[in-house]
Amino acid sequence: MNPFSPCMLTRREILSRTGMGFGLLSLPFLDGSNARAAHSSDQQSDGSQHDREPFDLRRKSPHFPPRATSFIQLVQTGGPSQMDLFDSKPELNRRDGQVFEIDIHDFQMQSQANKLLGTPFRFQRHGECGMELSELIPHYSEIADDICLVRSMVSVHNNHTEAIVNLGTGKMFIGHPSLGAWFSYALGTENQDLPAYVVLRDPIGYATSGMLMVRSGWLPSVYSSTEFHSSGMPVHNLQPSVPLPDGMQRQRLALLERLNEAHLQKYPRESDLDARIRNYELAARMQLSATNVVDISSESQATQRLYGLDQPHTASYGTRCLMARRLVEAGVRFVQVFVGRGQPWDHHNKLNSGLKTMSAGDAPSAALIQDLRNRGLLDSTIVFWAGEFGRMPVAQGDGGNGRDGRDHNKNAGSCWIAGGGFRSGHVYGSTDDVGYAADENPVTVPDLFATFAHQMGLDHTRVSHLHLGREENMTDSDVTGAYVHDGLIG
Amino acid sequence: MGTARVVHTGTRVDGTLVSRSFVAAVLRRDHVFDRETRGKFLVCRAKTMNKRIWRSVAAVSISASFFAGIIVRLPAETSDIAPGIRYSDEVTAADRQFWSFQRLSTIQVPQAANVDRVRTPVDNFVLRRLENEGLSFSPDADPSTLLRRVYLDLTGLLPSPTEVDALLVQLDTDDTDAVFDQLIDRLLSSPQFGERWGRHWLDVAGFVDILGSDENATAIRISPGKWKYRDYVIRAFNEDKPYDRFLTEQLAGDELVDWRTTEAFTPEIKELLVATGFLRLAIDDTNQAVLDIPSNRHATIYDTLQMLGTSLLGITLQCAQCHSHKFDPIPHRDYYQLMSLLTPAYNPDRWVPLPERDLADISPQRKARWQEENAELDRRVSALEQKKTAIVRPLEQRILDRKLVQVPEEMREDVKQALLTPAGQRNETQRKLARIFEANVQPTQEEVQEELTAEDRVTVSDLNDQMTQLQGQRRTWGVIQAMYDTGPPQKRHIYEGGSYEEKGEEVSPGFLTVLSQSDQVLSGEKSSRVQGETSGRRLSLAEWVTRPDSAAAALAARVMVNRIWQHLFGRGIVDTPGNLGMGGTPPTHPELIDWLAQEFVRGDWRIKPIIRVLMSSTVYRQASFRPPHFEVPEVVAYKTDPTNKLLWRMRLRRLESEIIRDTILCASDKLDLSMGGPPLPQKVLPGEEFVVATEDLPANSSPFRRSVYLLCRRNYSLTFFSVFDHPMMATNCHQRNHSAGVLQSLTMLNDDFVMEQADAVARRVFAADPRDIGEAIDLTYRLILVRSPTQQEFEWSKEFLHEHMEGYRTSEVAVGDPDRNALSGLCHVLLNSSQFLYIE
Repeated sequence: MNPFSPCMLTRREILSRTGMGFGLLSLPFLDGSNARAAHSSDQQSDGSQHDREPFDLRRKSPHFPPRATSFIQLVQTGGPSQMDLFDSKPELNRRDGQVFEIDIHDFQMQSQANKLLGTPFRFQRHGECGMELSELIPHYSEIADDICLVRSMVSVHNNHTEAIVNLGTGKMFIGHPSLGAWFSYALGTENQDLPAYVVLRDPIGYATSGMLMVRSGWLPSVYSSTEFHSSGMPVHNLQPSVPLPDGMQRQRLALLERLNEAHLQKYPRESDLDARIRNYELAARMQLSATNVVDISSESQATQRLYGLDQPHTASYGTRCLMARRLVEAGVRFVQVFVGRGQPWDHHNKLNSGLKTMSAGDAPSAALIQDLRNRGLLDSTIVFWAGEFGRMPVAQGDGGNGRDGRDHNKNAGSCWIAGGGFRSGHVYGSTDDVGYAADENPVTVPDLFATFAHQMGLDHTRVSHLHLGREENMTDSDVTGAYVHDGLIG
Repeated sequence: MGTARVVHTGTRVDGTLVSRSFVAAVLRRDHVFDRETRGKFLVCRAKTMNKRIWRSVAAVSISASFFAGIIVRLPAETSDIAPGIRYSDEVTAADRQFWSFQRLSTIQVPQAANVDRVRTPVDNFVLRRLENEGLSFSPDADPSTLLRRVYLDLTGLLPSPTEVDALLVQLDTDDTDAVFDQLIDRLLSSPQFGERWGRHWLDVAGFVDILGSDENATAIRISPGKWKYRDYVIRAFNEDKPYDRFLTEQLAGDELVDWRTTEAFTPEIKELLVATGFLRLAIDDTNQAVLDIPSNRHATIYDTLQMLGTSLLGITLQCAQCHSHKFDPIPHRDYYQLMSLLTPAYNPDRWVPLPERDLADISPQRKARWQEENAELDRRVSALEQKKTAIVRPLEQRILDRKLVQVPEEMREDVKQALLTPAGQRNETQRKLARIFEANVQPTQEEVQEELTAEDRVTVSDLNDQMTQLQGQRRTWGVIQAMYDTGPPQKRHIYEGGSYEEKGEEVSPGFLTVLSQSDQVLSGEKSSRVQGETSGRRLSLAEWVTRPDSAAAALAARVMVNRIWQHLFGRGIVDTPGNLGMGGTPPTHPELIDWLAQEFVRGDWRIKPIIRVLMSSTVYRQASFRPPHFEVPEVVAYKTDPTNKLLWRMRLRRLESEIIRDTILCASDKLDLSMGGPPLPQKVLPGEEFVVATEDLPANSSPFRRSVYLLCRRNYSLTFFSVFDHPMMATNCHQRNHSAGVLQSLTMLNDDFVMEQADAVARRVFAADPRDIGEAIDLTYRLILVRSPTQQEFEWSKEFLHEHMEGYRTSEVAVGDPDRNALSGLCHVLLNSSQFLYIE
């Protein structure tokens, strides 16, 4: 028998011959597989996606040396009110109660009076940079010099669902890949004992439409997120609900590997079969690593206090922020943290009291930045805090209960980014006098994606996948016009 | 505007780069220049709140109150458009020559050299192509592999060991091909065929049991009667309804019968109305008044058109919503011509919101009569109720006064008034008071009973009986989610830039120009088959798409045979089954797809004969791997055709999520094969895990029905299914993903369902009373993998069982019989094995 007949090759031989051996995986940028850069030039003539390299989570080289290697998205759904938190508008306060001259069409209800509403909250300058921030978020004084505040973020739609899908995927149509899926697809992940892309949500429930921003869409589902729970077992089915006696699982896995390896002999080139064998190895490793990585009891009292774990109103979100740091530290590529269930920032009424409750999250958010900074991880980690849109400068309310609410506003909102080579202590973009619409340097979600990708060592126009016969890149740049904002970085 | 073109940012026109900033600059002058005076650049803002519009335009966000997308329109002569990109309003003769837009012409079947491997004409096409590349088929798969493949492909189920044994005996004596041909015929006529292949069509149509957008994980809003369409599809596949008829019923079943004036719905009328549920699958949230707005109504129509285009014609119509298609010869106008075929039923200007759109499953006449009868019953009941009140009320008052003592004196009168006011009429304060005091203060039935005199007690009891009896006579009826004209047709227009707020030229109802000769616009005359008060427009569409010898019918047939091929071979002859247009991938075997399409149409559009011919072919019967030393060696075949595009071996295919569950239940013998009816509900466990509910099941239903009968949601399928790539149904799905993620391994390893079923397989083996461990192992393999173990597998399994039994015997925590636990372990391992998950 010809010893080089492929049927004789073992899986590991194939791996090493094709440059995908485990040994090489530990060396950065030397594993032989490149970031997905599927241009027409390196496509098969029929453009079929089956002709590509296998879809897996092994680390891929970026297009150029990256500034950041991991990403934490702090999802603030509902629509945080920029003029009460981040975007001081003295003119708005001065004109409180006056009719706004722009005729707004996008209202839901009870805003038709179109009367401007000032903010009762005072703004102060913080940090060496003197960033102006609201008294609602005092803990930001600790991180004002670390963050890049964007006051000119714009969305595409005034409905939550569309805008949330846009925030998650860069498109407002359901079914596109999320940012985390794109990064997993393009870069794989550092720690092969953990998923590449982890979602941490409020254990009491999903954010409304939140599930629409955590999926791989039309990318292969291996790039979809894995949900980690912040209490109880961290991953669905990580352990059987009735545990097997000691050693029994090991015996089962051993037989399984024998059977699967024998089966693979017949199909030496079926990468899925190989992936499946490796997944059982990963599953077994995850049973340990996933439990350890989310075990925050090993964190010091001081750290736990910093994240607000001792306070009832910050403990839940704080736990997720702390878990996010541990996951990133362990080599997870992308972590998505949801601030709460439903639409927590959606203050159509009870704006002032609602904001006071929600803005308590400033402590865990700020703790995450400080903690990452102190551990030297902030340089290589991008932290992105944003809701799906901002809110209106005019009041919403039926008059009876006072004017204590604001409707959605896709034309302007504030968000911030820290770490990963983003400018620190910097304010980017601005809005008009009353904060109704972005004025200078409007930033779209696809623009942000393009800029994030750039910092992760990727050219967003070259990270692409064949979708319905069309090579679609991660920002769909020829449709969205997405580009890297140099003013945000460097 | 008619000749204008659309360019994307990044192109150069007359030396000017159309950049983001350029577009933004033009836009910023919006308030200075009107549209005509903006020089040669005509810039339109897509002034719209449309959901889900395919906005293939340069989207630049600027500070304008209503910005969503920008279209830069340029005069036709200044074109600097990338090659392959068209945006043309014209359809040329050359466009009609594109392979999939041509009418079918007679295809000569080629002759392959190795006639020994040719079983059907299909083999001639495939083998000839392989031979041209110096390749050949792999040998036939061994019988037990092929058996399993045939069962899974036709029914999605595993054969029982008894069935397998009988077949293997037959194979020993009879001609192999004949045995398989008989088996294929038998399975094609089994009811499970319709469940397997109906599910393929349900993907294409985008079926879910929910009309709304299903954005909330825990609030499940099932739409009544939607499941009837699912059952219709399954029946249609089982009956082998001709595909042209199948399409016609789905597009216009309601126009084929005069259901509006008929006295009673016959089963045929109901069937035809249910069939139109095909056009009622797009997201429709208009049951919520706040969402019954123009943008959402249009979104429903757009989604329906998108589904229609990709499912029937394999064309991505949605691009032409905003501008002429980027790749295909579909002018902007064509989109709105087609849309006008739907608007008598889906009229965005006179929308019929949910649930008003629900149709009763009884005739309108009968419904009117029954409603009247019910109203009469209500009147009689309320008269009786009054009599009862006259007796009971004073008692209630007395009891209430007595119990009100518990309430602080100053509130007593208010509480009393609140409780005496019927719940619906209470004001806000009364509602609050009622909430607080109702439970303690409101007189109960029992208290009233006690106070009644003997005589009154008889009277009240008699009144109650009468009322119950009358209530029992109330008429009830079911719901059909049907498509039907809700009013006469109205004038329709092109929407400039896809914005319904910018109406352009008027359009006549019509079809796609590139697939029509002279009839792209509907003539004034209705088809003679139209029955009753309806525009007949959807029936015209059905007739256009199924008319023999037309380009449209040719495309529809190509799309369907390509899907059949895809389901049997893992990939279509065209690898983008939802796109056979210019943006899709070219066919690997162009003559074969046309030959199949022709056979399909000639064979009365019946699907089963096509499946039969494909499964009888050598290309289907060959092994999925290349044994060493077989003719052309694997290395050579691989080098020539690394992705096996040309099928020098059968493709290895992973089972779909539903089939994984169904086959597990086959192995454990728990599968409940009862058919049809309302969906099995879903339960949301804490931690948002979605499982099949075990309570509130439809009558006589076990939780182990086939997966096609489980509740279908848009966004939240069973967790078990999501893990195995069950699609989210935003519109529809043409190709399932087949990923291999780590959650799949964790699920198969640890999920309760898998563990329980593994145990059930072990019990089944024990119940068969095997003589020794060897027989137990053999039966376990045959139940799960449909074959006996190899010698090596047998040894490994035996070794494992001994080790495992020992482990259980010595364990301090294990409960139950160590032997069965050990065997359950073996079952568990086999369910986890790659072989179980793949069709070899």
